Amino acid sequence: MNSIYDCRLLIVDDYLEIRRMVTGILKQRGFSCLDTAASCREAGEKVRSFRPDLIILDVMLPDGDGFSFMKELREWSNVPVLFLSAKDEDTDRLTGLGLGADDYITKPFLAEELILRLTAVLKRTYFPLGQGAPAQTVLTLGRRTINFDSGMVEWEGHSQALTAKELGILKKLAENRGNIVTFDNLCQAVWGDDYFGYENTLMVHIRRLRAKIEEDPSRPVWLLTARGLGYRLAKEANAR
Amino acid sequence: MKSLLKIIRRFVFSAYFIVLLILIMDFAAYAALMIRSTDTSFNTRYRISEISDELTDTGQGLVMSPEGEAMMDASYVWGMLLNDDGTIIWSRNLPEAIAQKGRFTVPETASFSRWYLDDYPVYVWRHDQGLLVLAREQGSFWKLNLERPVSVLRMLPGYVLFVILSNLLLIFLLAVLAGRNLFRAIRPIMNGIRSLEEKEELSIPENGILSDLAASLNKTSALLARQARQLNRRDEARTEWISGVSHDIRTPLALIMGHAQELENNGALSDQAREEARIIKEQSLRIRQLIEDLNLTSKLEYQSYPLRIASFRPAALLRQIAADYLNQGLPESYEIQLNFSQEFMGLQLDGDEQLLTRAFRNLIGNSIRHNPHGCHITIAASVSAGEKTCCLLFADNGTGIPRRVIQVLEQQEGAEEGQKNQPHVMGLKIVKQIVEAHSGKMEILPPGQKGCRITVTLPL
Repeated sequence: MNSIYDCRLLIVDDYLEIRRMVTGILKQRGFSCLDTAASCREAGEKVRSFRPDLIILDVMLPDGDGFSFMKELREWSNVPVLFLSAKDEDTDRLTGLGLGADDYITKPFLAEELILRLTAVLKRTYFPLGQGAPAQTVLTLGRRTINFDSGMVEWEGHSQALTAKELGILKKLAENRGNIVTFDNLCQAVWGDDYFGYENTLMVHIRRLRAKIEEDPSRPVWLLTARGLGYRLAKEANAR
Repeated sequence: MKSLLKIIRRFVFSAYFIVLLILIMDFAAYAALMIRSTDTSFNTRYRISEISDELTDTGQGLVMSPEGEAMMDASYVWGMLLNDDGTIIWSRNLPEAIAQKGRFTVPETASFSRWYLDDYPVYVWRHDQGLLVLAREQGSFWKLNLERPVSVLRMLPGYVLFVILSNLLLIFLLAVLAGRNLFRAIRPIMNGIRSLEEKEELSIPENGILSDLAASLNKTSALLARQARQLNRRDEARTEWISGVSHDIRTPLALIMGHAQELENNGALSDQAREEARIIKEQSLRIRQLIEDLNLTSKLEYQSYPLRIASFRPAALLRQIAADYLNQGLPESYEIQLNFSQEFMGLQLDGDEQLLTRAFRNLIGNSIRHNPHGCHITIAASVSAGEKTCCLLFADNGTGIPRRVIQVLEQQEGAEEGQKNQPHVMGLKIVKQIVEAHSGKMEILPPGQKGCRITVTLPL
């Protein structure tokens, strides 16, 4: 298995049209090893014969429900399961996740949603250190590179160490690069759940961090402030 | 309970005054009788002294004048005159048994002068010649001599006062006792009526003077409880039905949405066809939102949605919601500004974070949806320690909420049904329901200024 697209996927749904549509979506996105089942019994057989790497499972099936199928399955297999169900109650969602499902998607769904969640599960399961994972070890900001393993900022032969707090903040921002991360989430990432009251301290750390990663700390182009909300690490240098 | 006490108090006092009034009337009647019976016309039409004066010694013995005889016959049956020795020297209509005696000893005279002679009530008067004795008919008068020590008579006014006062006290105590019994009898009924509001089934003990009342109250409460149960069942059935329908719509909608999306991404199709597919997908997304809203609103309406209450920081929640909107690619023409007071920043509330997120997202989403050319959204929040509430204001400088939407939202249930062309208000209705489920209040401020202003007040 060289990439997630080599994974074998089993689609279990009693609706022929849904099986066809999901198969179509997956094929279009590059997944090729696909098989389908319309009932619990057929799914059980397919799990043994097709040996899927992931099962997309409906809850309501003609000969039983997906929950009890999954319970039986877990007795002898750890294959990841992604529920795709029309049951939208929170209790159903919790039941599914409680049984050890990797995700729970409700119908109707957008193709992107299914693909994003599916690839996330596959990456997590089969390529835990794969490239393109959000927690990359090296971050490049213009001429500077930040190495999260060593905690160093390097540029043109120079290098400067980041403190643990600065590293934590930058890591959180890099994981959500391009998106605003609220004060609360940043503080929580650095100081834990009991984070309240660290907002001012956070500002101090951000100032120091900017001094290390920005060319001109008074006019930041990477670590941007979202007024009243939090901070954002720009994907491209923001020359505003 | 206050009104009950008032009733009882009034009852005690009226009982008291009724008894008092009866007593006074009795006294008056007694007094009237006494006064009448001591009246001369009732007692003796002619005084014995007058009759005595009519009995004169004419020289041929004692003779009663005809006037005297008439006066005597009017009141007395017989008469006699005893001389100083006790011998009968004159008589009139004297019964044989007494006439035979002829003479009365001093002890005999002393005895009958106060009481009776041969059961005749007799009266005596000092006559020149001796003692005049007149008798009334047997059994016609009761003679009673009142004889009391003077010391007792002196005590009489105080004694009478004491009796009156103790009577008053006794009446009062009895009235209070009766009132208390009534209070005890009424209280369960009273409490029963109160708890009717809660539609509980009552079981008031059916005894005492108000047993009928208790029985019918029990019956009524049973009826109400049954009706409430039936209504609940119907509400539940409706919620379940909506949830079932929304579930059944999901699979076909998934197909519509999925295929529309595939068509939208199909490069072989013309731009127009792809645009049409995009519209189908967008509208399918809208239907998805609608069925989710419908499901939630019906559950909230019939309180069948269990709130998952946990402690959370509303400031953090609002920041996250605003950041999410911005991160999802909100166009530059929109701006979200947060103005939080210092106390609000550190405030922790108990509530269902997921539901409140939904409510706040709806409010911000409304501002965005109704102002397609962009707007400035302000979320201001502060804490009122005095009123123990926190107040959130969602404002924008856009087109504002149409008056009709406000009207529909403020209408009572039932009144809004059956109206045509009703604006779609489910989004705001859900906000209102969620806020009210948290014992809070949602208000749409009058659209005086430009834009829409909605306040949400939550208890601390």
